[in-house]
Amino acid sequence: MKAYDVLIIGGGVCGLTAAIYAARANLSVGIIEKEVCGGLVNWTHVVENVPSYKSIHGLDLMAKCREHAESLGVDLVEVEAVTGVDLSAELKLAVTADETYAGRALIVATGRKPLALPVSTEFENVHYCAICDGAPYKGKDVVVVGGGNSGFDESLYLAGLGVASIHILEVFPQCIAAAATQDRARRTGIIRVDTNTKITALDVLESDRGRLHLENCADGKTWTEDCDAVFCFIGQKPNTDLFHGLLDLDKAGYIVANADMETNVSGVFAAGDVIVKKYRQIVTAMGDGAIAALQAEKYIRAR
Amino acid sequence: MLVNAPMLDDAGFDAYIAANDGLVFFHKKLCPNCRVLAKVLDKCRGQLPGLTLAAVDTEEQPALATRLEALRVPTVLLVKNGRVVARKTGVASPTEMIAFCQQG
Ligand SMILES: Cc1cc2nc3c(=O)[nH]c(=O)nc-3n(C[C@H](O)[C@H](O)[C@H](O)COP(=O)(O)OP(=O)(O)OC[C@H]3O[C@@H](n4cnc5c(N)ncnc54)[C@H](O)[C@@H]3O)c2cc1C
Repeated sequence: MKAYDVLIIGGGVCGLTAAIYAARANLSVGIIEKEVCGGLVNWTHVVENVPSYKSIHGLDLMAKCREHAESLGVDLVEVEAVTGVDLSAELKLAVTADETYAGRALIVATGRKPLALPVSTEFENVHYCAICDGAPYKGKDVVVVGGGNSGFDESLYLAGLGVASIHILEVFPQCIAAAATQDRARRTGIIRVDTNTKITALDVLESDRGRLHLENCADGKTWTEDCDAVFCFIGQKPNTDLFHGLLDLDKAGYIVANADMETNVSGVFAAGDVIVKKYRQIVTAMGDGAIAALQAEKYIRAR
Repeated sequence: MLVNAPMLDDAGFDAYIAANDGLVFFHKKLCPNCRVLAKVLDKCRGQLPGLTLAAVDTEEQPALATRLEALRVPTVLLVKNGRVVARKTGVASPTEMIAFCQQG
């Protein structure tokens, strides 16, 4: 078993910020991260609202946060998923396939993960990352599901790769992506958008292309459309499966924490996108992480 | 991205795989899944000490990536006796990747 003063589950921007604060308070800190540190920010092509960087690639920003935490002696355990927790005793435990980790205080910063395409399909070309999977579709027709900021940003990336056409489908009457991004997308001349449009099925054709079955949510009209790939960006859900029955969650599965990031279990703090809150942004996740670490320090010192 | 692994180009690829069995990792600099798989491969190296790794940046070597149908990243090719004997695209866990290395 490996023991720390502060154990953090999740190495996104929130977990890394909490680690920096706790380490600077002379506490030993371990972060357990199921992928690599950086979390959702690693997936954001360009970040333009973190003060001190006018514009920076998400991966580069998180590499700097990671280095900062590492320079303070934080133990970063990567590609190890926490598969079980025990919050019942004074020492909080997190279990992975390789090891059991313990903390005098635990900070849950597990964030959110993308929702999958809401139809089951055998079509192989369904993707969730334009940077990773976009290159083979140069000159091809792609459909992007979701008219939020991610849907439009990733569409612009695909347009830059030279795909032939992009059709963005949004189930609601309006796209919520920033107006400036929507304008940029329309100016490419290859991106068109349909709102009020729902996918009801996705078949594989003999040509290996996909056939989408679509329905207009306003008037019930149905039609089909063929494409080479579908990229899906329809939102996120909280990573809280581990905590059902252990921590108070709201109906959507987010952890209920107070203004000091305390949960219903003494010594367990939760912070960042995983908690019930209105604005989920990099700087708000950092703020939450800082508060959770300071409060965890106070909790440890009082014992 | 992958430490201590030679970066291959189109000109040198065939000679390299003729002389080395192991894995070739196709990636892009700003691909988040590639960072994850690089870390997984590092971990595999710890568990399979004889594992030979090489890497290809698909943005710097588009012709090679196209020739080997490795435009989607991350893609890992298992090479033996100068031939590609298996391939895997997307993120995998260390256990899955070790099983992939040990096949054939
Ligand atoms: C497409 C997109 C673009 C965005 N763009 C911006 C932007 O431009 N500016 C901005 O301010 N905000 C942006 N945001 C929001 C911002 O990314 C989030 O608010 C922020 O990343 C939240 O950080 P976090 O650390 O709370 O969670 P996350 O970043 O989600 O990190 C959680 C971490 O926990 C890990 N984890 C989960 N479960 C486990 C487990 N069981 N074991 C171990 N590890 C686990 C995950 O792998 C992940 O690394 C964007 C969000 C999205 C989806």
